[in-house]
Amino acid sequence: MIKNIFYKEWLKIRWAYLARGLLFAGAIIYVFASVGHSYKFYEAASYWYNIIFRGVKFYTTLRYLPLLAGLVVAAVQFVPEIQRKRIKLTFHLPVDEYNVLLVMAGIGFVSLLAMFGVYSLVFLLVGYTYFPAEIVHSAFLTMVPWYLLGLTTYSLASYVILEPLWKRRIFYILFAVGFGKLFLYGWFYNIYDRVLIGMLILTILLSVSVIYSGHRFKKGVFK
Amino acid sequence: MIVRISRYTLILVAIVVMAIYLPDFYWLFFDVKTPSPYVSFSPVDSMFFMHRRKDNKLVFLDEEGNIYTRDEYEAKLPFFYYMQLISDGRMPESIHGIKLDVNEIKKNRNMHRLKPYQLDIPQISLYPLLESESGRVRLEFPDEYFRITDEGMEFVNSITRKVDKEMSALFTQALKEKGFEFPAKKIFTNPTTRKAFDEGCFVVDAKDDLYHIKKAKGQPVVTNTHFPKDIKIRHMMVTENTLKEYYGTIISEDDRIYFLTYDEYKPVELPTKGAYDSGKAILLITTDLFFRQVTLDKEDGIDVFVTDRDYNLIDEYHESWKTREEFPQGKIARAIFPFSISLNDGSTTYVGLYADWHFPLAWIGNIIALLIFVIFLKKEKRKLKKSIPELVLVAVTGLYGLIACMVYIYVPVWHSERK
Repeated sequence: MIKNIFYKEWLKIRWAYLARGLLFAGAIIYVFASVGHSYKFYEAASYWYNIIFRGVKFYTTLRYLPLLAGLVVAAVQFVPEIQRKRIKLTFHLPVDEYNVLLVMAGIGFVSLLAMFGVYSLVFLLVGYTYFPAEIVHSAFLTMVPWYLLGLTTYSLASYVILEPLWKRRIFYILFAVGFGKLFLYGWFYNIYDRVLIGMLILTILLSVSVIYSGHRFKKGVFK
Repeated sequence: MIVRISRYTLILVAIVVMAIYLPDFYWLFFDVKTPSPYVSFSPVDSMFFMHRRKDNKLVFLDEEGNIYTRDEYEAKLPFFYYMQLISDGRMPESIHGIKLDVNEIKKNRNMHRLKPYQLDIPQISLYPLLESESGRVRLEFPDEYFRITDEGMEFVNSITRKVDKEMSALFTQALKEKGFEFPAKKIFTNPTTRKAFDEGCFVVDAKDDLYHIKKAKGQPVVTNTHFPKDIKIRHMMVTENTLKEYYGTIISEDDRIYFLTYDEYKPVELPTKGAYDSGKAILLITTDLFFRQVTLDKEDGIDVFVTDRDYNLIDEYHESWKTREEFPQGKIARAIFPFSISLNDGSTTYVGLYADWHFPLAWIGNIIALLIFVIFLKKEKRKLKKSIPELVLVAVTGLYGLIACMVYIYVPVWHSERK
């Protein structure tokens, strides 16, 4: 049964997944092409100076991509489920409803995580050929909150979508947007280094949020 | 179980989000600001003069509160406004019998500012080491950046992106000869070409000795400054200037302020009488032909200390004012919001969760919130006993908890429990 759910979820997200793969690949090519361009047009030393002492982020293009990825995966996975309340069918399968939901959310979460992992690896490997390790590592740690935002966005977007009532949904959206903004504070590099562990724990805790809405959906709430 | 985890996580997130945004939103409407005065010591009258913004107008005063016109004020501070005074033809020839020379005034006029967050800021540990004796009029940026590892000083060429082995070996050798122990604990530089000359960098080594490293005609010049080890160096602002009296300012771990002087690197402490709190005050050091001045600009007041050129304290000025928390709107805020959270409290560049608790005033708001919550539960026909965690939460987190619990209360697990 779980295997079938895998297949069903895969059918839903495959095109979105491919599209985002292309988008990310394009973004990374763009980032390093502009780095190469900067090397050609400016003195390398002053380019480094801007990165090290003025906090210029050559990778800033990648900032909102994980957020977008989270939103898209949540949408393609859960919007079809609430149309004509299809998810109710799932709840009538002879498996535990919460496990089904957890597997669905898990597939989305892990697919995003895998994607972000691959991108980080590519970024690091290409980065080393353009910059000394210090700059590449700083860039990577500065991007970790953006990836965590992508995962959090996915979790929060899916629970917002699955919530049956608009009255509640508005509050959920307000809290979610406010929370998401906290991941994009400030402009200097590495400023999140001291709270990354806490953010990671919260991201994991929030990954099961969809259960809350699923529970409400199943019970058929009226307020 | 898992429903409960997700629900409590969502409540927690909602509370944090509200504690960050709601007080900020409140203060958008009711904020008050007392602009701090800009205080300077007049060599003409040997007393403090200041200007400050009052009702969107600049007011010029002395320390006794007498009001001056702008022209009068400028005439009292000739070392500050000499350009204006010369242009107006009002520059005095001498003060107290000392003849004034514009070049001397200019040379002695320095200003160094240090904000709290600058003491705790992420830093990619690659630094440029400028050529200090190039023979050129203007300083130029080198192609290499250096790092100090466990093994030595390593120069990375920014064009080839490879380690310059020759230069690295040269500097590592020079450092070892002077007894430098790798790795470096702290590195301080002034990485800019917009200065008159370059003094290289200052480095604290593994056994807490402060070294001065320069590049002169491509060769390393390394000096152990023998800076006293009982002064624990927290930060150094390297500030080359033509006065050539000090290399820069050192802030110690216990918030004392020192000049590192050209006189065999001897430290000279600037007087602060323990008033400096590096996490809260903006430090401003100014020097002029007659005086050295330390200004500590805080949210709730200002402390100014003035010394003569031999660093003997000659006068001080203190003023304090109410912060927004002490105004009625501040008290109301403390009653409405049991705490506020910010991502940054100004003492660091790093992000954290900084909570400012508003108890005991906050009990007023919390009790009201708790009453509303109890009425809400009664109306929903819920048993209070079943809602003890929520009741405790509202008692502690007041308004935030109330809103969060009302938004996330209707988990229909309770549906069957209702009468």
